[in-house]
Amino acid sequence: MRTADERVWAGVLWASVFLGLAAVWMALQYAPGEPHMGLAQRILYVHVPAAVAALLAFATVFLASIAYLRAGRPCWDHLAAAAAELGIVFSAVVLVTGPIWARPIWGAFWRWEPRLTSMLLLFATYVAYLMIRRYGSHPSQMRRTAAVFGIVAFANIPLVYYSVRLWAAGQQLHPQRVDLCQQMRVALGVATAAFVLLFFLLLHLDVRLRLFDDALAELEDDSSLNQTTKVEPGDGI
Amino acid sequence: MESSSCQYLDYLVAAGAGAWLVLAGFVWILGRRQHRLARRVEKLCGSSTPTQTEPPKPGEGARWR
Repeated sequence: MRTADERVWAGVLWASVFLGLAAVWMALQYAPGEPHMGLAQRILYVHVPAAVAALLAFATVFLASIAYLRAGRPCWDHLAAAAAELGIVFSAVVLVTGPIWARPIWGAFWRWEPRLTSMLLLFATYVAYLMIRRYGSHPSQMRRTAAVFGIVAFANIPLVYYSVRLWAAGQQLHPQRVDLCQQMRVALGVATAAFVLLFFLLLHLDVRLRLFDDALAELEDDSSLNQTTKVEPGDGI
Repeated sequence: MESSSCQYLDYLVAAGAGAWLVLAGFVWILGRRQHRLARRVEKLCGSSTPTQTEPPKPGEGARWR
């Protein structure tokens, strides 16, 4: 018998699968092609939704870090850590698909233009965040340091988002204005919804594993404590 | 226009495969974590049974080794 919580997440899983399949069909069949970029333009339906999911993940890190500093509850810290991991995963999707798209259109896999550079910087910042968590010495101090870092690192998000407008058009390779037809917008919306649902699903699984890990560590501590204190006074002497 | 309909198909396939690999890799990592937790649970349940926590009786040391 499934609990209500499990039913909700099973629903999210099936909705994500359905939307994902619909997005693949829409990206390949429903949405019209672009005459100059050919099929490479259809990378848009993976690249942009992954970027949206990554920014959502980093916004979650920001909010969960604030909540952790205010309330001090470990669940907020777990949420921030899981969201940071997922942000890195979705950023990696962006950084993999972007250069593959760029190669036939710009003639090179990578150019040091504002959007690409700021995205790479964002990725590196959150890798640093995870390194703080991994190699921090004292757990409670590490969590607080990570939370502060998670809040400060969020300053990168507006930089990435507005990078195409902050710098002059001559320095940009990303378009400053994108005009998509109705079908393209619908396909992009469905693909974005699929990625966002996938993000929430993976976030839920990751946080659950972390909470379970905590509970297990407590049980292991209790168990080892019981074993060491089992000796009755006078038993061994 | 047969050639233009397949223009850059290899790039599209590469991008799709790349995205899929990154996401599948993360799911695999989550699966490994879950597996490790399951092993810790097994170990914890196993260690709480009296037969495994009992110290060896005098003279049984050789068999334990």
